[in-house]
Amino acid sequence: MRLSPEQIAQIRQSATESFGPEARVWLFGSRVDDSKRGGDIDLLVQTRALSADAALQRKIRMLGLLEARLGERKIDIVIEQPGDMRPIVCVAHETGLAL
Amino acid sequence: MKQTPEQLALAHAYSTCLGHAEALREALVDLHQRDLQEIEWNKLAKEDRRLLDQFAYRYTRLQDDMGARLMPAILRALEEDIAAMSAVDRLNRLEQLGWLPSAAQWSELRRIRNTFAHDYPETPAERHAQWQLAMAAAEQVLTLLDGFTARMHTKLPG
Repeated sequence: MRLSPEQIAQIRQSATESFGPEARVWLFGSRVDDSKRGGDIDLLVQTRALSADAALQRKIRMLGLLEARLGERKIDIVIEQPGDMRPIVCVAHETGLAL
Repeated sequence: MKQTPEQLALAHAYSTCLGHAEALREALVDLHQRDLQEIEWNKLAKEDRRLLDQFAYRYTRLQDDMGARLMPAILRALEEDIAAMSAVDRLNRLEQLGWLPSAAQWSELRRIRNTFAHDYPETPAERHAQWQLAMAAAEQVLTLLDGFTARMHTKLPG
């Protein structure tokens, strides 16, 4: 995994502040692959059930916290709510790493 | 009196933004009148798609042109040396000079714009939420442009 312990801690903290202490985070995509360089940070955040509006607001809040803590870089966040079976969610769990 | 290159660049950037703003305001009026309900996002009529496209194009273009063209042009017209400034430094300087109420607000609006442009929500509820947030953000962007207009008349006449 190509994230430092400090970056992982910042990501987890940002998820907790945005989605609450029960939120869990996975890293997936190219950052999981140690042989690659650079690239976006793709995150899956598993949350309790939220309204579409609340999920969007919290996601933007988390992006703001990450920008302040990790600097301006390309970060994508996928929100997974209970029962979410979208292909991207399945791929994130199959290929990703829990932070 | 002959205008400086900085004044000409500012006038051009400002005029471009005004054009986007006018079309964006029209789209917002129509969207508020239309008042699309969550369920309707399942299947949009042709007229609705056109209206949403007009909003999306003008909203993203206005915000991009304000950030990438108008704000740097304002700073240059104020004879600020922006070559060495990062994007965040420029926002902070505009806040310091009283042009932006809050650099953090602009950054938040940029994150909303990026999420709007890059995400493809799947459910009608998610689409509805995304558009509602973008419309509220667009109103804020227009208010900021109005603030620039008022300030340009007093601080950068000509």
